[in-house]
Amino acid sequence: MTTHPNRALRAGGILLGIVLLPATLIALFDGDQAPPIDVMHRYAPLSLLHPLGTDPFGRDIMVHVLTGAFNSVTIATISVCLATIVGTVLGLIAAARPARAILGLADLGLAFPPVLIAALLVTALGASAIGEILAIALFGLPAQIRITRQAARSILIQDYIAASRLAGRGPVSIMRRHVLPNILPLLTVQATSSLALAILSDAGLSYLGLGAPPPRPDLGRALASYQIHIFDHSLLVAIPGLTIMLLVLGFNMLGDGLRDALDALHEERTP
Amino acid sequence: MSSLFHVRNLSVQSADRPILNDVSFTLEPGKILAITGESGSGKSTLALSLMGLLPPGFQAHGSIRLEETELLARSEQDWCRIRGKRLGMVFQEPMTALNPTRRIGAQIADTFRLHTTLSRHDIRTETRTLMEQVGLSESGVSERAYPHQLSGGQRQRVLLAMALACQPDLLIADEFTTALDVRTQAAMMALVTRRCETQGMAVLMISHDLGLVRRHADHVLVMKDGACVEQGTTASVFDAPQHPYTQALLAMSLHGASRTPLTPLSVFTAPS
Repeated sequence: MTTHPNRALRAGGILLGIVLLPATLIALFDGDQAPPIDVMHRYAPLSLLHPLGTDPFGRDIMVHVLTGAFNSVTIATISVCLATIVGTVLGLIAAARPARAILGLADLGLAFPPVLIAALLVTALGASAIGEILAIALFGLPAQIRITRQAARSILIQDYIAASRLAGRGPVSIMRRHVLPNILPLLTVQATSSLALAILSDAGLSYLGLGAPPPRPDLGRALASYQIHIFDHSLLVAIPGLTIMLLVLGFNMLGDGLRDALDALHEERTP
Repeated sequence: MSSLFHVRNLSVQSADRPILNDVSFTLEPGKILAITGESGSGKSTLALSLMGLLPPGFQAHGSIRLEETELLARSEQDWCRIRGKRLGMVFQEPMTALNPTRRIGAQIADTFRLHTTLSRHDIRTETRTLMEQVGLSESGVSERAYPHQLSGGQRQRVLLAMALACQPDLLIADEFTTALDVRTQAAMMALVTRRCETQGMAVLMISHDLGLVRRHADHVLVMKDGACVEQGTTASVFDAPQHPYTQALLAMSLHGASRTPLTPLSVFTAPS
């Protein structure tokens, strides 16, 4: 489906804003820890004090889920940044010279089941935010290497690269001045779309108990801990699930909108 | 006059066949040497080998000397210091030879940044001067323009400005006027010949356009199947061609001494 780029960007921004603006405000004022347990107010109904009610421990569901969303997005962002930086450097090296080792590792990474990698890392490092970040970054790394290499190779065959060599520019300088700026839009779109996947991965790992340990709230763990109430208090499961959906949809739409906007700019500038 | 550029027995071999075979010539400062011949005769491979830009898998043998410096078998690092500073090159395709995401001023200034220690302010001044010299300023082109905002002729002027920025000893022009209209072609050639006269820059001009060659070149080298079949002064090659291939080539064009009716096939079957 083709949509107006600004429309997709705007829709993505609105979806993310609905979750991330209040989540950031809560994190700024209350920190990234879970709200206090209050057993006197378990399963409190919707009210002004608790807009989405309270959970089996008397915690405010809205604060709990939004803090979890903030933590999930933080982990996803760090992971994607790590995968993008490392993957871009390795991809550029693989584009410039025959680098079978790098491509072999990328293929191995693509063939390996992500959950198995996460389980290995958690075994090695213990259940921690760092282990989770590394696991999610490793999921995205092979694709990042492949995409960067392919995009860089398509730039390296352009006449302006030959013209740049004629002017006396060396290989590293060509990568920095010509290749990287030209593939940056693609990398930005890829990173934005990868954020959606990283949030799903974070939720999945936390759901399986392979993510960052409590007491830091997390969307996947909230879903896991509330699932036994799916029939008696379905709102408890629906809210973290809906939040994950809003974040994934938001980042995907933002990526699509960015891609369309940057494609239009590229077409305008390319003969 | 002492020679600036010496090429001796230059041969280039690709993985499966020879591309150039024992090409030799010398070039003096301020002179224009034109290399002509049919498509596939090895002219562009010769230009690329002189700039150290042969594709992977190609091997060059022989000698290429810029004054006393032997250029063959130099490291990429050495070539980066020579290209753009002592050797400049412009090629025929102006539409794709500029980075679409960078302003033209920045692309011209690159050569100064790479090879000089000029300050940012001086680089900007030099860039503006160069843009004036190649006629970009008078046609209203700003240094802040992007390549897509320029015509083919204006882009070719930008490429020429980049090649001339560091006042190279030798400019290799590989059919750089082919894509241009006659008026722009004349303006570009005037600029190049002025540089030859005032700064002693030598030019190696690769062209199919025998009219252009006759008007501007001091010497001509005719190539066929990767080898030099004839070379000499422009007057001697055009007025009294010795080799049958040169005779056939000139007879096919409007610029030879005597134009005789000839079928296209006879050019390709002329004995070498």
